[in-house]
Amino acid sequence: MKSLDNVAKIRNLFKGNLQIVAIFVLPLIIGVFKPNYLTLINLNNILDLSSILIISALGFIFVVECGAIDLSIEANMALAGVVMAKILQAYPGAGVLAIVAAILVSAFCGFLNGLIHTKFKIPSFLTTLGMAYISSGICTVVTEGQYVDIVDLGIREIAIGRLGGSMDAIIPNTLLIACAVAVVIWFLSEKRKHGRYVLAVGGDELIAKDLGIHVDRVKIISFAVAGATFGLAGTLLALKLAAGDSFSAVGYTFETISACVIGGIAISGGIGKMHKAILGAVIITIIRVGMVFFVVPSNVQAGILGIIVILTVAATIDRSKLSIIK
Amino acid sequence: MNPMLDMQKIEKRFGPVHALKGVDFQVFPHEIVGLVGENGAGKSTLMKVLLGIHEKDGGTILIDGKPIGFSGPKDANTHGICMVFQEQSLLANMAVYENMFLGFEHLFMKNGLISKKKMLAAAAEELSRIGLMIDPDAQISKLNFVQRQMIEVIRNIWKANKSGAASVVVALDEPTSALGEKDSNILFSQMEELRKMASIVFISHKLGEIARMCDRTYVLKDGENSGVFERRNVSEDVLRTQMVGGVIEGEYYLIDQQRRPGEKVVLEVKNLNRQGAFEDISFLVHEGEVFCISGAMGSGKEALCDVLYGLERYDSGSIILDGSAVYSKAPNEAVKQGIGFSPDDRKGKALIMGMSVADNIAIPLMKGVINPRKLAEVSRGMIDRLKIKTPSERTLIRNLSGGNQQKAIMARLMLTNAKLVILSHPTRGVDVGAKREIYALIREMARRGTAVILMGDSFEEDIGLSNNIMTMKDRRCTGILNADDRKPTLEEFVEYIV
Repeated sequence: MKSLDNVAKIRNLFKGNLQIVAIFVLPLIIGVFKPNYLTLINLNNILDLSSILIISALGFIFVVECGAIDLSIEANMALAGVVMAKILQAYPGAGVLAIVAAILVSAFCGFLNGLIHTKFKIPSFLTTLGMAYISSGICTVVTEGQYVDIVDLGIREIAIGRLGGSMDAIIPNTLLIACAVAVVIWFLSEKRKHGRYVLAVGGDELIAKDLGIHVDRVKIISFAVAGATFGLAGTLLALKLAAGDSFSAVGYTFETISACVIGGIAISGGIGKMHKAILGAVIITIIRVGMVFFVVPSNVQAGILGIIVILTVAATIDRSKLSIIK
Repeated sequence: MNPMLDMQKIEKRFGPVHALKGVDFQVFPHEIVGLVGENGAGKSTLMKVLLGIHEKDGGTILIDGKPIGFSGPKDANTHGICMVFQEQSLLANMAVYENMFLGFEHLFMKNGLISKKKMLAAAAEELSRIGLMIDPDAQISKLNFVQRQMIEVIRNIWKANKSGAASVVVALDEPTSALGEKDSNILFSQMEELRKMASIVFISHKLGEIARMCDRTYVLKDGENSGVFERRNVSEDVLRTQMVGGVIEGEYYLIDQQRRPGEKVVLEVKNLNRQGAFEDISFLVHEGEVFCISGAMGSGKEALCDVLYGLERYDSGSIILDGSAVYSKAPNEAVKQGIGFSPDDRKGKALIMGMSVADNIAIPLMKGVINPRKLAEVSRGMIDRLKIKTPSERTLIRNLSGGNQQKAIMARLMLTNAKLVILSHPTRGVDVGAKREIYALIREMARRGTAVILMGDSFEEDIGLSNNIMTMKDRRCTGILNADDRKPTLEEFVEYIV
């Protein structure tokens, strides 16, 4: 029996930290074939690229924990990028205010998502899918399908710069911003009521309601927080690309959801830890950059990522507890 | 001494139905009060009036001598009246302490932040008050039914005290209906601890437990007080008689309808083993036989039935149905081979709550091209024949009482023409009147030649209904008793089980 216990222990340890293992092992495997992958510059690049995904995944956590889903991630990101770029175009001196305004617009979109979902009782996937199309449409109209260039190098520095200003420095600004977001989300989930209420709503909405929790309010706040982080992620992306446009964020909806899934957050709600979303986001970026090194065409990359996500869920899910799959 | 809760002459009407006809109900401090009655006698209506879920049409509710009326359960809770339902309201995905104080986090702030440490300490203190050895940081899903029930009770008492309620009444709705004897006893010893902090209203169909636990017991019948019994004057028989109005034991189980089983062996089980569940089980079940498998929780009887129906695998031995060996790997194969099953968890495992009564009954007929009109007709026939009380065959099954839901399951089993029917606790949570009707259906199944394997809800039921009883203890068969010529007495019987 004792050896059995130990096996179980090791398995549990492995299971609980599979993501951390993956983060160290995956680059090594890729590095065996492509030694350049392990250079400081590239690892640095991975951190930089994961940061945006980490930010969107962190905001998405509350929505998932509620048992809802948000499919308007990339549309919301694109909208934020366009809003910021347009403001910068009209008022070149707006600077950081343009970013703040864009984040507020995104947060408002998230708020609308939550409001429509809860008050009109429309399933969240449908609400957010509809909102995604609306914001994409607005983007396309506003930009007339063109790139909105961002010429202010000073403001772009926020997204492309590194700690200390020098391009050789190791820590990208985006990573610092992601860390700040992580602290805010941690604070909300551990030190404020919101985190517990979100889990309660995801666990059983009816019970949560009976206990006096304002379920609708919890959901609306979650969607609004998510919207804000998508906005931040979208502005950073636009600053990196030096332009806002309707399609620059394509793929982020899938990657954000995948980051949570690969991180091990239950998509059915009620269970989740924020560090898992961060790990998931890093793993996805490691794989993405790896595929670039192997010169996998980008369309094929998306397909491979899809396969990986499904396989991860298939391999890690605890089927003994699942009898109904929806 | 004055009662802390005094309900006087409570009246309630639902349209033409006079549900409560001037019911009196009192609870004194630190008392355990029983509340029994058939389904429809008015127990739950009375409690819902108390909690403010229903508005009363007449009468007075006094708490500590002051008249009061609640707008709903939340309001009632702040005044010290709370009810714990069978369907628990805990969040399985969260920790004990989080569940206990959900909605009250503001009481555990330190420098404007929630302090997990404070919450854990407070939770540990509340748990220790009734001697519960539970880690407050444990996840609810890791706890058993009794522990969860206790946590809910403690949460309610804590909330009531926090809102300034001087005295607390906790009503437990059928707290033991899903429990085995051992767990029930644990619950009872905790109820003794609880009464130091609160009065308890114990609502149950298990009259023996009521007789044993309650200081006083109210019996309701047809919306009226039928009697109040002090502990010293009460017994299971007294309560049963008071509830249904004088039914004699033998008649109760319809023993005059018992037939001798046929010659033909329907099921032969030989040396069946499943590691950790049961060992070396052999028995025969004949045509038209009611064969009971009896034993305490954990005796292995549940696992045995699961194996027979293909829900679980077995390790060695054989199951021979109608002369040919079967090995059902899944319930759908068991059904194909002519085995029907009525599980103990009828809401979770037997019925599709979102479907109508008719559709639930007619499930076995749903194959190939379905003719809805024909299905409805067949179901209607069964509803009439089994006297299932439902407004219409299109009513959702979730709106029926437990007894009528069980009858719908029995109707479904009868439609399948199964050779062998396994009934697990068919009378669980069912009132006395409906129990008799279910007994009559079991008798009818046997009369039609169906072999019935029964796990009754009480040993009396097992003895009263069966032709043969297999007793199990510690995963082994301890004997097969014949109950055809003479029913074994409870004393004789219990020897084999404990």
